[in-house]
Amino acid sequence: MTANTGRSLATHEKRNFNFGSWIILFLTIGLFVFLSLTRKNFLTYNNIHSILYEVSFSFFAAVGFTLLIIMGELDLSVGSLFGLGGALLGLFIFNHRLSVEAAIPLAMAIAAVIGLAAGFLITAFKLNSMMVTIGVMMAVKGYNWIQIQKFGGRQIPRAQWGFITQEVLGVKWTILAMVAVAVLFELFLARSRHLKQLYCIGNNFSTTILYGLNANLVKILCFSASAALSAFGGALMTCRLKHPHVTVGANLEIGIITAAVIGGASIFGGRGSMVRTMLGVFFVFLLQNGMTSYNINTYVQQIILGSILILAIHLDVRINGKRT
Amino acid sequence: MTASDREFLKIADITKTYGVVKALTGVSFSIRRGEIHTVLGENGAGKSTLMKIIGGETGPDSGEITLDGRRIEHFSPAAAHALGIHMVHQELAVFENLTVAENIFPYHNFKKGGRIDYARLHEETRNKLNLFGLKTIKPEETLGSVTLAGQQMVEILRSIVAEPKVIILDEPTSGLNDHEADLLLNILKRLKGEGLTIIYISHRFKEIMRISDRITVLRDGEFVATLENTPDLAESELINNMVGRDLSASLYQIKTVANTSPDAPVLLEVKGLAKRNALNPTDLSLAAGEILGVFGLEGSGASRLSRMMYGLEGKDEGEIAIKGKRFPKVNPRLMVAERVMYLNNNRKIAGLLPELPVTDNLSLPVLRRFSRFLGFLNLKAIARLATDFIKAFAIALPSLSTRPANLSGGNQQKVMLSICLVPEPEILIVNEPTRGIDVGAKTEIHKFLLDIASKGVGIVIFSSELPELMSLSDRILVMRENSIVDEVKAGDYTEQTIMRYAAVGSAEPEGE
Repeated sequence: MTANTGRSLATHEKRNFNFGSWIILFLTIGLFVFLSLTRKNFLTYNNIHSILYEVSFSFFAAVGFTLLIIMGELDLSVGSLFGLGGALLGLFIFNHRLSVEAAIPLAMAIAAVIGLAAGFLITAFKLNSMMVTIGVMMAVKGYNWIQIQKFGGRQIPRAQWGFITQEVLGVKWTILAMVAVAVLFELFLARSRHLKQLYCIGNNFSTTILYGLNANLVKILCFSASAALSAFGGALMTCRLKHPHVTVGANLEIGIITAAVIGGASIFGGRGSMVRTMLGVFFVFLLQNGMTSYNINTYVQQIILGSILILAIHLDVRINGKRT
Repeated sequence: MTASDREFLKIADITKTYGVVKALTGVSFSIRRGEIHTVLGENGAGKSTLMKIIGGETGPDSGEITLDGRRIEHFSPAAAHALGIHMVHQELAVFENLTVAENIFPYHNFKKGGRIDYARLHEETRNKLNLFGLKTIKPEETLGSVTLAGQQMVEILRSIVAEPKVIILDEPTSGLNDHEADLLLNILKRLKGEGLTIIYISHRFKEIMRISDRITVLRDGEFVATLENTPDLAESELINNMVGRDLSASLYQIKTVANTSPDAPVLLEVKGLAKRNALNPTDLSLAAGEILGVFGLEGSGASRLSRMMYGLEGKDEGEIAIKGKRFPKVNPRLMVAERVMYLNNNRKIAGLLPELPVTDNLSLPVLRRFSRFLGFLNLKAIARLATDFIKAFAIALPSLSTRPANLSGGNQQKVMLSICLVPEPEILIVNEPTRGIDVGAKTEIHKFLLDIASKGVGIVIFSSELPELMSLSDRILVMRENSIVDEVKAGDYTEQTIMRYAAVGSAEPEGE
């Protein structure tokens, strides 16, 4: 009985390289190489930089989304809350004469409260997170449109949006912030008590309750963080556009869920990585950029993106669904 | 009575294994045409497995079943239905959103011009309901609005209208009150009179004695006896058959002396814990180093008591005191903080993180202990801790990153016990500690539990395996009908007395 017990325990066993979980890396490299070879203007510093610049805003809507999908929860309100960041930024700057330094944290705080409320409803009454956040998505989107219509295309003064164009060593700071956030979260997910427990909660919620984790509180806080970070991304995006616009964050949740799932997260919970989600967002934007460069109609692009989402979910169910 | 009537449903040498667990071993007996035949046994005696096989829900590993002289070839519910065997489960399988009539005739047998003839459907339903004296149930009403007893009757009626030859009823009275149960038993007698063969499962001795023609007792997956229910049949004879193991030859040694010292401090006190329709006011106390067993048959409230003690289920009244500190409300988080741990009865549902490395499993309740600056975990210390536990509990594991999903049941159970011991609990609530694992792992787990208790940890064991309880416990509390009905001390253990308390609630044979 004790022959193979304890004796041969490898304490630092190298995790086997898992092709499935890094498929996003190969997809991205493949697409990148393909576009570099076939499109003349693709492989230029300016083009790549501008794609990354776009990605850096949307990525903030994917951070909380990834934390939640690891716990088996879906947050479809990230797109609308992204938009809310822009709408509230306009409200505070135009109507309340606040500076951008005050407006962004305030917008984030309001979004955080909305996330807190959604998280509370979902955990306290065991409501389906997808349905509740679809409700939040609709309601917030309605509010965004009402507000943004009132602004009537008013421009944000340069003094307020100027910070967004800052560069460090020729790279927009938001890109660096994105990479830093992704790496930090990856590190915390792997090594810190607070984020590592997300995988435990996603793997078996009842087990974590049994051993004394406050799993519901963790979920509520992540819904709140997801909302706040989405609003942050939306506010930055609005600064880049120099005026609040209803297209900010529109349909973003679809891109994010595609990005997270092809980035190795599972809708069954227990899996996911921040760096791979970032790669996923990059992949989705790269694909859109590539399709546009091939003059593919935007509506056709929607068909293709939708198909990719279905394919990714299908693979997820095939690979990860069996264990449930 | 002809031979084919005597051996109407013949069960011959049926064996069924689930993994390492032998659910049935060479079970053979026959059921007569038109009798009510009760199958009796402790939890885990193999009743439900045998019923699943007869009902076609699973096939046997070996052996055969013949109905009316014809061997059953295929085991599927559809095949069983075609042969005229219907099973009514303890858990209702009804369509609450449909009407009573649609539930009784789910295949819409009454058609007129390609459409459902509702007038006829309701008429037929009314006839059936009247036949059973169920005049208060209306064919048109939604089943969800009917009482639980009514739903149970409707489910039985659904089986009856298919004009089966054999009907299996698994604890049909468990959700019913005395009056409703009485009504059901009368209906069953009438159906028997009409020639239906009924296989009946129940733990309620009064009912069994009242309606059965014969009673077959199973024990540990084996056939023990089939008894004629004559007026001289005594409850004690049934109980002796249910428990009559030869324990001298088994791996268990009955504990004869309690190991606890009388001046050991009280660790845990449960005072007046109660919940409506689930648990009558219950008190218990546990001393340091004591192993307290709790025994009850299915539906006795024992497993619910364990969940309520740990705060996994709500309560209406009562409080829990841990080392003198009183808690009017408890939840698992508070219990873990007070150094109380809970070993879950079903490792597949909760208790493990099946897809995460063993290190993550073991460190789960003590993550805070290993977290340093910004919550960063000391992974080396966690690996050391895990290695210690794996060695101490002889868990067969290829590496620390192995996931419990890939381990055997016995090793999974040992991992789960280790998780509970990592926080160094003072009180351990253990629920079915050896369910579904092989004998080797079972003995090891028993040894660990005795070991832990000898170090001063108080342990409450809930188990449906009586020999296990008798070999581990210093005292055994017996539960029946949501109450603790008796306490037996080490030295006074016999399976017969404990089973009698659990089954009929009194120690002396009653002249009923």
